[in-house]
Amino acid sequence: MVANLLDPILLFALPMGVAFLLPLIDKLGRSVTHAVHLLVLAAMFGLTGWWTWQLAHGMAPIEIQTGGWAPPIGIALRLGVTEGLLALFAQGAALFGAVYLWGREEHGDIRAIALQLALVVGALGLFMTRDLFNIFVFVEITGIATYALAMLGREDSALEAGFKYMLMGSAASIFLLLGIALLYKHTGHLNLDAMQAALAQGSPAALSVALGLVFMLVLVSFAAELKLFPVNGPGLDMYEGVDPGVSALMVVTSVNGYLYAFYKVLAVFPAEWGTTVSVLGMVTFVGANLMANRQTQVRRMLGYSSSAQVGLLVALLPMVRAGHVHMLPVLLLIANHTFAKSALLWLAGQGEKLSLVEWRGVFSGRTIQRLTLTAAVLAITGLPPFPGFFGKWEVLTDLSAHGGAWWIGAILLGSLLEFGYYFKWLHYAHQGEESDVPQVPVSAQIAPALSAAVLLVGGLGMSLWRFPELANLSLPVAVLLGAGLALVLVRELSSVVSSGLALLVVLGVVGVTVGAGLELNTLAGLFTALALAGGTVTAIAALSVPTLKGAYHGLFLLLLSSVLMVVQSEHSLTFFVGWELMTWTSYLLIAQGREGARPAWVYMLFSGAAGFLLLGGLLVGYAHGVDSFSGMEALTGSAQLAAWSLLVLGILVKIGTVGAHVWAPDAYTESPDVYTAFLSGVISKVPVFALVLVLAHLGTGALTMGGYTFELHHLVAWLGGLTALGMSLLALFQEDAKKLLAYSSVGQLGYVVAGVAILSPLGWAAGLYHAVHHLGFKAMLLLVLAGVIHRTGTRKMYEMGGLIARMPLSFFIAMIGIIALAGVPPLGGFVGKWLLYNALVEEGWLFLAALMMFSSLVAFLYLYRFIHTIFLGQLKTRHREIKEAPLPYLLAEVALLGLVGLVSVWPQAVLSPVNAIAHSYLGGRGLGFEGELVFPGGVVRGSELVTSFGSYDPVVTMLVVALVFVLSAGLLWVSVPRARRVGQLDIAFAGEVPPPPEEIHFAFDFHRPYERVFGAVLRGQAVKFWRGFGDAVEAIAETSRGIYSGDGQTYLVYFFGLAVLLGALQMGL
Amino acid sequence: MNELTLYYLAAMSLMLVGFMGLVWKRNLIKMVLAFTLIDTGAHLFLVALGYLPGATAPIVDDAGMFAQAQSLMVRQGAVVDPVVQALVLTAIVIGVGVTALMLSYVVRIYARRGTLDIAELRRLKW
Repeated sequence: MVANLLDPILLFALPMGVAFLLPLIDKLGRSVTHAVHLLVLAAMFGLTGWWTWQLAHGMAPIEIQTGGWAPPIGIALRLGVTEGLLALFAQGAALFGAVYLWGREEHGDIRAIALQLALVVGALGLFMTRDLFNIFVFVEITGIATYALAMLGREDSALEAGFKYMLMGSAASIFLLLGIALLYKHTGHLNLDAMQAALAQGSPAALSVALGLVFMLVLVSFAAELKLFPVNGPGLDMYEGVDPGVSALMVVTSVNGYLYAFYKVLAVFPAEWGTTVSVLGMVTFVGANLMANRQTQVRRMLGYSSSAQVGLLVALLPMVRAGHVHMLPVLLLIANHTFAKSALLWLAGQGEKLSLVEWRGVFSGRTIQRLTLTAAVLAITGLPPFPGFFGKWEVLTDLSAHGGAWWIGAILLGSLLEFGYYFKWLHYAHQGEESDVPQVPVSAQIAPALSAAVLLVGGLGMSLWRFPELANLSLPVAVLLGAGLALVLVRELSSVVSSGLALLVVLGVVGVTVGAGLELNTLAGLFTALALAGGTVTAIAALSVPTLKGAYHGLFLLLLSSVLMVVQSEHSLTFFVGWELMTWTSYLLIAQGREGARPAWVYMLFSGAAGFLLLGGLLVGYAHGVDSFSGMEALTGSAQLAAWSLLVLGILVKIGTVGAHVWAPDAYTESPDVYTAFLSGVISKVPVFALVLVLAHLGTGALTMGGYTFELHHLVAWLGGLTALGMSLLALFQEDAKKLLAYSSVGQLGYVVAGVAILSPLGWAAGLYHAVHHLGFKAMLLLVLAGVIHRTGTRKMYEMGGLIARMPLSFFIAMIGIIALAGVPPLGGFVGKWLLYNALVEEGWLFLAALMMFSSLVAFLYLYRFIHTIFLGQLKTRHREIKEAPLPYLLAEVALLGLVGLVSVWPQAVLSPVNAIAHSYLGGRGLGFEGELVFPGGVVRGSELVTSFGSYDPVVTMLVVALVFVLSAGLLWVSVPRARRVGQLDIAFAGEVPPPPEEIHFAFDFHRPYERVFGAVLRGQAVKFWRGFGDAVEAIAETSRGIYSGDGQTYLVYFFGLAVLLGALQMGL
Repeated sequence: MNELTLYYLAAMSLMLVGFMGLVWKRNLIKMVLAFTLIDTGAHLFLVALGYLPGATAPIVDDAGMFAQAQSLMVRQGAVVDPVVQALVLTAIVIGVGVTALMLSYVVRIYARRGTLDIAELRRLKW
């Protein structure tokens, strides 16, 4: 056995020996030195990997006593699985770090290399040692190595930061020394195991007072070393001031070392004192993430982020000790932070200290770095498939099983705040023209990419191993994931090739799904069909857009796979993985729009909040041992209400219900034009799917107060109604045709929400029918508009007009679309609304029915404007030569036309699956529905739909309308004399100076009278509210970060102040 | 007042003076001096922990024997605790290193920024 011949003490001897030999090795040439440096780290990594592999497969932890001496003379070291994994993270990331620093002359000399090796050794020592005094020694080794490395930097700021950091670090280590001395005095041991044993034998009062003092000393000391609030000032300065290569090394080695050493020391203290530690850590997590939102300097922002992430880990440590949280997810979080933060710091090494604004366009044309930054940001914000997501997921489910609701809330709040600044950076770095910031050497591009690759592969591997349910993906999902990832990686692939490939993949998936027998009569089947139909037409339409390259099509496939993942699973984890995957792929797609960066950021904040609310609801389930939607039926009382409220709230935010709608119109408008069709047609329906599931399994949301029961689904239905009205009114005032349709989309979802929320078979019929039909007509309208924008290059309606002459097919399709939307016979819009009114009247919700009718009138107004302004009236001179929309657009529109036609003439195509769905979900819930349906099944007469209030026959209606149309058209044809064509410029101004062209256009400010009435109450109210909210958050962040005055002595005062405060708390306990 | 209390008091006052110097003196060199005072106080505290009035130095020629005899001898008051003495030796060495590094920082800061005032090192903040 090789392992028996090699002692883990080699891990210390090898790098230290090499470090001392470096001056000699360097005589052979600098590149030899570099090679030796890399080799040493690689050898350490290999050895540690070998041992860890064996340890994970049942070998007993390796115990080492230096020189064969028993403690306290010799030093005891232990290499177990945990220590091995931590060492692997540190060595792996340090290896990449060595690659990064290779190209930096000031960090490429032998002094720097020796110091880097010392840092790795120090971290290893902190992981492995079982001896308290040894911890002090290794803290000093890592500390001194860091201070010295900082001093080697060229920048002035590095000196300032290094000195302040050193003052704080030295004060911290003296506290640690005093604490260790006191512990030794009271236990007679320095070895942690022996000390624990001694303390376990009853603790007399005198000892507990001393122990309290020690606790204070140790906690304050580690708070400073780990950069916890409020003693993280110098740490933040370090991130800003020193070379990011050095701070990355600090993150991967010493910070992890301190963390694990602190974990070991915690074992000495009573478990209940852990709460103090957790509170301090969690305050840091939330506070630092809050303050990071005010940072303009990226490196300092990353410093705040490190503080925050480490704060979270510190908060979790006592919970691991107490057995409330598993060690493995914490290790995943550590790995995630190690690799993601190092990658981010190395990326931030681009150029000299850029502020956020200066980051504009830096990665625009730099494929590798762009991908790396995206991956690292997704990883650090805890999104799937990166390890951080699975770590957080398991931590949260563990916490929910131990009643840690407040901790969960704090973690989710902090994580949301994290979204704010990371996605801001991401959007700055990606947007705009390429900037002239010089490119870094290749080694500095490779290092972060390696970290990102580790995150991706490790995250995927770990997740499949830890959560086998994720491996049961259906073939279509797996194919889409694989193809999507591949296309994303070749992001610059030309639009022709990549759009063709994407379409082939989508068609293949459709083929496989249909071939396997798609069961439409289930909720999953219906939504799968919806997603695939929407996906196919969008993929067809995308053939005609030359600006969308591999990255777009790859993300689109990933998005489609995530939608299928969500709708095909009722298991909470798979659902949420799909949901979050959908969130970030959608974000990146929106950001691809020309002005999409900011709307995408706002989208991400709201979607993040929605996701976390949803997660909160799922966690209520986990607290009661439920891990699926169907299992939630077991919840009762307040748990049921809590789960219901959180889930529904998350869904409503994601849908963009009135109040939370501010993200939606801009995100829809600024997305790439083809993508908007998918966003509106399919993505917006996914939360509807979730709403159906939640209402089906958790009921009406009964809130009982003082003997009176209020069913919250009334509120949801009303919110749906108000959304329909409010968004329709807002759609009136838009000059931008796409924004008009965007508001209209959100408004139409209001009908769907109201229908589903009625929670009756008829209501579901109305809601789900409208959801399917909406895909048909809205995607159609959006694609028509995409074609128009493609040809005219504008979205402003007053810059268009008369396009019927040049784009007659588009006009015809748009006309069908608006008839369908307007809800007049003979098309499906009428069926949907008729069903909805029936359902509302059936429940006796008459006011809501009236509201819905009113808002459907408003839709006429904006639809009229849409078709009139774009297609009718006079053709602009500059549009005289434009052509009909490209063929792929027309093909996709015709396909959608088919869908609209089908569901209009044959509503049963949707209603009979809905019938089956309603039957299976609502059948047994005592909602006055016993399986006998009032609509189609059984009571359908021929093609007629019958409810208790009347009947509607779409086929007859269609025939009648067609007949009337033909007759009246014929009559007009024969009776009206031929019109004389007049050139559009047959007019002249009578010597007046014409006002600006848009003001004389009749379409400008078309609905001014309505705006005078409704505008004041409607326009910008919600935006104003959310902006105020954002300003308030930023103001809090701004005020709080004022405590980091930059004065080294102030920081020391905080340090002593924290000591006094914790001491006082400890004495009070 | 017994001998031990005196040592403890001396250690505490050294550290307190050091802490005060660290927070009040703005001159970088004085801050480094203050730091060494704290360090010395801590070392004194450490040695005092293992001190037994009237005991001899813990010097044994046979190390193997020492390992077994150590706890017994300390308890009987024959020798002072050798462990803390070893610790203090290590801590002193580390302290020297840290002080040297701090002073070299001061030298470089003065060379680059031309100041020895900690309050002027405030470019990095918030």
